[in-house]
Amino acid sequence: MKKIAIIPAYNEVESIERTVHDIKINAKDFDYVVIDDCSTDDTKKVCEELGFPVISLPTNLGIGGGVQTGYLYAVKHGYDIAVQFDGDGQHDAAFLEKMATHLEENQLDMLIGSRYIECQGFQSSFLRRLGIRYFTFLIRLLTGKKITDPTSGMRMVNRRTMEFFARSYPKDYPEPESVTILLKKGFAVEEIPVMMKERDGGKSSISFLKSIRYMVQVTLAVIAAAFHN
Amino acid sequence: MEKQTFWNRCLIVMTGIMIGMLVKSFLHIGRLEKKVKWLSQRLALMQLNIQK
Repeated sequence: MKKIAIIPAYNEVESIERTVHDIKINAKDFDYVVIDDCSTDDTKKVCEELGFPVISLPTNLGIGGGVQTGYLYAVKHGYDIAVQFDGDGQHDAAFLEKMATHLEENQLDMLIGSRYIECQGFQSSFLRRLGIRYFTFLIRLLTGKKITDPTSGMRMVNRRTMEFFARSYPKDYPEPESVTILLKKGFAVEEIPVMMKERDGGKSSISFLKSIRYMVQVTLAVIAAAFHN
Repeated sequence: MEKQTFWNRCLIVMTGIMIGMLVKSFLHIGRLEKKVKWLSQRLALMQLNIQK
């Protein structure tokens, strides 16, 4: 089984080295590739100096475009399993092998690492948790499936889902929308408890003001995805 | 009265044309954006010479 970690990174110069070393040490079976989404800092330079494989996008495509580039790469190079692993140091590579085993044994199309099954580790702010609960409710209402952490960026997929996402993947804030699309199309999606950490450095793409836009935009996208499919 | 109705109709037609142009430009931007994304991804993938 060929496995790869796709690391989307935008201005993650402070944390990218630690993130890659975490994978190298704790998930030895996984290859990895950094997707530099046209960072304005030295993310690309650091990756090149340290010899990390890096795909450098010539324009900023946002998290959706970046992750989709990773899926395109994984499909092209014959990987069987791909995992999205954020470049900000929030994810823990120690869970990757366990996730891969669970995905294979249960023949799942997507396995999401959830912070809210065992509620351990970094749990995010109260307002964000409230927003996440709202999306859990919305997705359950539209698809009938309870996803406790629909905004989690730690998600592992099999070859079938990888090919699907390589063809089409949501653009902005894609996590809740992509889960809804998969569930409506009958893909097998499950969650597994993981622990996450606070980000090592850089800035979250969702500031307070953006969060209002985020809620509206993602709500519309999730509803559209549910009815479109 | 008739003159007013004529201008009202003109206004409605002009508003319709403007909305139509706006929608068309959004669709155009959307298509252009997709092309830029497609091209960026292919260029980036071509550039990569993976090494682990």
